[in-house]
Amino acid sequence: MLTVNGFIHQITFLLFATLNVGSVLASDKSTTHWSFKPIAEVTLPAINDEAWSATDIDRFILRRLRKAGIEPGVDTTKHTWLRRVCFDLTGLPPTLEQIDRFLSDEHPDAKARAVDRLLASSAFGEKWAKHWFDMMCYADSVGSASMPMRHAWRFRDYVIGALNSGIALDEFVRQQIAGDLLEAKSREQRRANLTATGFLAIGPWQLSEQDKGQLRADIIDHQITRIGVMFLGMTLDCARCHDHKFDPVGQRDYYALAGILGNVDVLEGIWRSNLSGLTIRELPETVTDRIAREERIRAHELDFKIAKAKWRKLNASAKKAKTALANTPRGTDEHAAAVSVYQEAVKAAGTAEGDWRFLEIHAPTPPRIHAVAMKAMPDNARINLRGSAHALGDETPRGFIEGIGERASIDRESDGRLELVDWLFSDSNPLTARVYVNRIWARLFGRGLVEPVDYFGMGVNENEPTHPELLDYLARKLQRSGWSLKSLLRELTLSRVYGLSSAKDSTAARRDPENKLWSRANPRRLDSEMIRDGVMLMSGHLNSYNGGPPIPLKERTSLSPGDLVNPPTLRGKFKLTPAVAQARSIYQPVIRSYFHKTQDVLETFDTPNPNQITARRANSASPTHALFLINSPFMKKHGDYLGASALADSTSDDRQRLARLWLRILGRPIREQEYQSAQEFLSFVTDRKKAWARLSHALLASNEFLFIR
Amino acid sequence: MSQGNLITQLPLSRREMLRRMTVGFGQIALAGTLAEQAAATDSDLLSPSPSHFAPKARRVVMLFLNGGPSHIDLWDWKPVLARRSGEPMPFDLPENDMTFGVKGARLLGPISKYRPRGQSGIRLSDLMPELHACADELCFLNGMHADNSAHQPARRQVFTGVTLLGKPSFGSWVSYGLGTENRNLPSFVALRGAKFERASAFLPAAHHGIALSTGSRPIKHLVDSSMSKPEKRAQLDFIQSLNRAASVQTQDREMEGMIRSMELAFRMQVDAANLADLSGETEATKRLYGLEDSATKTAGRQCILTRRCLEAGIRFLSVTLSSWDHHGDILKNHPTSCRSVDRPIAALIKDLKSRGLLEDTLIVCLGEFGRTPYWQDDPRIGRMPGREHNRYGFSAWLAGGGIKPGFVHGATDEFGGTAVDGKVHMHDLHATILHQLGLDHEKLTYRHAGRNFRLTDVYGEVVHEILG
Repeated sequence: MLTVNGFIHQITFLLFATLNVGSVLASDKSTTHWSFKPIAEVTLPAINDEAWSATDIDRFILRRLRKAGIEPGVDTTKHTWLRRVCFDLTGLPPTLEQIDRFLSDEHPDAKARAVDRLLASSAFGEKWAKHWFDMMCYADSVGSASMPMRHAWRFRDYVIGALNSGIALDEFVRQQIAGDLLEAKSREQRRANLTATGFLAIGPWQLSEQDKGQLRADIIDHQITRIGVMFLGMTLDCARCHDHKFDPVGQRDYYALAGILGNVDVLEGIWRSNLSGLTIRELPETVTDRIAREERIRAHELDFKIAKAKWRKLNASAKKAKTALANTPRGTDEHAAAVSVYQEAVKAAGTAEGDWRFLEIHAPTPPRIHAVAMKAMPDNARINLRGSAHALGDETPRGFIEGIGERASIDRESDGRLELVDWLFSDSNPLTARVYVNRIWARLFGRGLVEPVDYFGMGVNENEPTHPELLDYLARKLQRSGWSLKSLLRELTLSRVYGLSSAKDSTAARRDPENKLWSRANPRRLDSEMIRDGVMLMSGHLNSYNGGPPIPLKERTSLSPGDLVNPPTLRGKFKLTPAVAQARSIYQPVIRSYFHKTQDVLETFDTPNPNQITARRANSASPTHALFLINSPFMKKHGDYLGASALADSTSDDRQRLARLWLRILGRPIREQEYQSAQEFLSFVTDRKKAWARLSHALLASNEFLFIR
Repeated sequence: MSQGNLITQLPLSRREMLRRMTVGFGQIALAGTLAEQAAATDSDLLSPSPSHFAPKARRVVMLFLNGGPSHIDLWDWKPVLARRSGEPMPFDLPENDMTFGVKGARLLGPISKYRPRGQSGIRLSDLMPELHACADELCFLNGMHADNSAHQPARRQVFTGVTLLGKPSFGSWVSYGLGTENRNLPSFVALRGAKFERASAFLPAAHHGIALSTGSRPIKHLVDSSMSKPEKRAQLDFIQSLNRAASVQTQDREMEGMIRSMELAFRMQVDAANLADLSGETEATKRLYGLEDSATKTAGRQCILTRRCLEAGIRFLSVTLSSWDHHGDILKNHPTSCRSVDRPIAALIKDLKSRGLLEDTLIVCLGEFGRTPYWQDDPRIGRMPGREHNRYGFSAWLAGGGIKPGFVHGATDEFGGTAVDGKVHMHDLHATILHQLGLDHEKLTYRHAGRNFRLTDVYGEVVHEILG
C-alpha cells in the first residue's frame, strides 16, 4: 500500500505548499527531465539482421532485444494477425469474407492491402473516436440529474467524420479549441469548425453548483486537465492550488492557461431555478433547409400558442387559489379545503405547463450545437489562492507553460486559443508528439514505450522510456508526416514486432519478465465496445448507421419537459430507436449518471466513467465479467442467433459447421481435437438447437474471444 | 461430460493443469521471476492484505440516510432554538448558496420532544425511540460539516471524498487496502444506492462494489435460468477447456486470471444466492427487524441482509436508506421516514451485539448533510414548511468498531446551524473510519495519472477524541 514515492510525495506536498519555492524549481525543468528535452534527430540503428525488420521500427526493437540477449519470438499466424489488426483499426472482428480475402491474397503486400482497406473503412473512425471521447469526457447528458445535452451528438459525428477523412491532428485540435475563430471556405467547413468547439463545451459540468464563481473555475480546471493529459501527458490540475515540487508545472503556468480558457464560456445565464444554462448556437443553414423549416415553424407556432393560452388560464386560477389560501387562517377546515383547491389548480397548471414547455423544447430550429461563447474583450486570469475562486491573488498574463517549447506571445486583442494550439503543435514542443505516439503505441501493444501513458512529468524515474530513440523517431515522423494518425497506424501495424506471436519463451521471460522489450505480443482484453459490437456483428445483428441523435427526445416517454424549477430531464427508461439499438457502440447514448438498460455489456466491461479523463482503460477480468459471460441474456441471445444460423446452413455437415463457427467467433481454423470435444459437447444435449446455441455461447464466453492474442 | 480427449493432447498433464488452477500462480512464479510474482491478477488483488497497524474494526457498514436527515429534529438538542422557535432569523443566510423559499424565514424548533436516554443520558428526540434506546452504544459527532449544499456533490463527498465526479468510492478504497475475507464473495457490497457510490474509478475493477439486493436474484447475472446447474457446469467445463488450451503457450496472467474468475463466478452462484436467502432466519429475528410491518419491511430486509453479509466476511457495506429530503411538510414526512428505519437499525445493532460482531464492526450513520434550523416555505414543495439543506453543521453517529460508546463529540451553535466546537469534516470522518480499520489515510494511496491519490485528498485528521 505504502509506496516510497507516495510517502515522499505527501511530505513534500506539505513542505512546498508552505515554502512556496515550487516556481523556482519549475523553471529549470527543461534541463532536468528527459521529456522536456527537444525531440532528437535519430539515425536508424545499424543491425546485422536486415532480413528480420519489416519496418524501421523493427530495427530499434531488434537492437534492444539483441542487447539484452533476447531473440524475438516467432510471427503469429495469419489468422491471429488479421483478427488483431481488425480489432485494433476498426474495433470489429474480421468477417468470414475478410478472412477469406486476406488469406487468398498472395501478393507480397497482402498485409499492407488489408491495413489500407481497414483504414479506409468508416468503421475506423467509429473505433478511434471513442478513444478521443474517453479523454475529453463526451456524453449526451450534463450534470448529475440526467439533463440531456441535446446537440452533443453533432460533435460526436464530427469527430467520427474527421477521423475518417484522415484529418491532420493539429488541424483537428485547432478546430476543436478555436474553430469559431477560423476562416472557412465553405458553409460545410464553417459548420464543422463551429461544431468542433464542442470539445470545450461538452463536459461533466455541475450545473447545480450554487457557487457560480467556483463552477466557472471548476470548468476551466477540467479543460486544462483535459488538455494537459491529452497533449502534454501531464496532470496540470495539481498546480491549481499551489506550486508543488514534483510537478513541473507551477501555479503561474496554470493560471496563464486558465487566462486563455477563461475567455470562452461554455455556460451562460441561469437555466432553471439555480441551474446554469448551456451555450447553444445555431449552425448556418442552406436555403432549402430554411424554407422547409419555415413550414414547420408555422405549424409549431400555432400549437404552441394554443398550449400556452391554456396554461395561462389555468395558471391564473392557480394564482387565485393561492391568494385565497393565503387569506384563510391556518388550522381551520376552510384552510384545508383551500389547500386542496390550490393543489388541484397547481397540478392542472403544471400539466399544461409541461405541454407548452415540451413544445418549446421541440421548436423547429436550425441545426444546433453546444459551442463556446467568446467574451467581448480578452482578459487574464488571477491566481486562485488555495484553489478558491473567491480568494484572488496576482493577475497572470495569458500564456503557456514556461520552459516547454518556444516562448510565444499573445496579442492583447487575442484570447490566445489559436496561439495555444500553435504552441501545442510547434516543432519545438517536445511533449505533444511524444505523448501522442506513445498513447497510440500503448493501444496497439498493450503498454506504452513510456508508462504511465498519461504522465510524462518529472519527479519520478518510473516514466523513463524503454526505447527513447524509437519514441523520438516516431514523434519526429508524426510531426513531419503532417500529424497523420492513419500513417502512424499503418507504420505500426505493418511492423514485424506488431505481428509477433504472444507465445511465451522461457529465456525471454526470464530476461525481460514484463516484456518491455517486445520479444512477443501482449494479449489484451477486448474493450467493452469491441465485445458488444463484435458479438453483434458475428451474430448478424449489427447494422450500419450514419449518425444522428442517440436519444429520441421527441417521444414524450423520453423526456420530462421540466417546469419552473426543474429543467427537462431524461426519463431513465427511454426507448432507443431500432436503428440506434442495432448500431455500433459509439452511437449509443452516453448518460453521465447511469448506463441505459440496453448497455449492460458496456457497463460490465469497464467502459470508462464519462466524467473521468481516461487515457488508458483499466480492462480487467473479474468474477463480475465471468458472470456476465456465462449468464447474461446478451451473451445467451447472441449464442442462440449464432447456433441457429450455423444450423440453418443445410448444405454443410456438422464438421463444416463447426469449422465455420470457429472461424467466425475465434477467427482461426478449428483444431482436430476440438472437433472431437465439440462433437462430444453437442451429443450431451438432446435438443439440437439448444446444443448449437450453447456451444456458440461457450465460444463467445471463451478467453480466445475475449482477448486479442 | 469430460474434456479428457482435449486435455490429454496438451503438453501439460491433467494433473499439472489442475494443480496450476488450484495452487494458482505459485508454480509459474517459482519457475518464472519475481516480476511475475508481483504481477497481480484480479483474484490476487482481492487477497487479504495486512493493515498498516492493528485494526479495531474488521468491517464497516455505512448506513446512508439519503437526502439529508434533520439533525435538529433527531440528535442535536438545542434548547435555545426550541425556546425561540418562530422568531425572525437572528443570523444571515450563507453567502454563496442559491436557495429558495427561505425569504423571511423564521426559526423552527425541533419537531419532536427530546429526553435523556440510557446510562449515558444523551438527549435524543422521540422520533427514533428504538434506536435511541441504544444510546449507550452510539457515539455522536455533532460538529460535522462538509463542502457542498447540493445533493449530488455532497453525496459524492460522502462516498468518494470529493464533490467532483469520477473518484473511487470509499468501499473500493477499503477493498483495495484490505482485500476480501471471503474468497467466494466480493469484498465490497452495496445495498441500493447510485453507481458512483460503488465505483472503483481508477482503482482496479476488482474493487468495484457489487450491488446486492434481497430476493431471488441478489446479484446481476447470477444465474442463467435457461440451464440446470449441471448443464451450466458442463458448458463452463467446455469454456474452461478452451481457456486452458489457449493459456498453455501464452501463459498470460490476465487470461489465467479469467480462468479463476470463471470458477469464482460459478461458486458465487451458490454462495451469493444463499446469502440473500432470508428464509432460514427465525421468526423472532424477522420480528426484531420489523419484517412483518409494512412500514419497516424494506429497511428491515436491508438490515438483515447487512448482518448476513457481515457474517459472511464482507468487508465494506454501503446501505442506502431513503428518503430524507424534506423541504416541505417536515412535520409529517420526517416522522414517517424515521419510523421506516428506527426498528431495523436498532435491530441491526442489537443483533450484531448479541452475535459478538459489534466489537469489530464499525457502523456509521449519516446523511450527505443536515438541515437548517429555520424553515423553508414554498407552496410548490409542501402545504407546510420544511427545512433547507445544511452543510455547515450536522450530525453523524457511529457504533461498534472501537469507538467510544455513549459519547457525544462536537457541537453546533445554539441554533444548530453551524458547527463550532469539535468540528469534524467529512475528510476527518473518512480518516477516522480508515484508522479503525488499521489504515493510515495518508498512506492508503494509489498512483494514477502520475499522482498519488487518497480518499482524503490532501486533508483529513483522525478524530482521536472518539476512539475507545
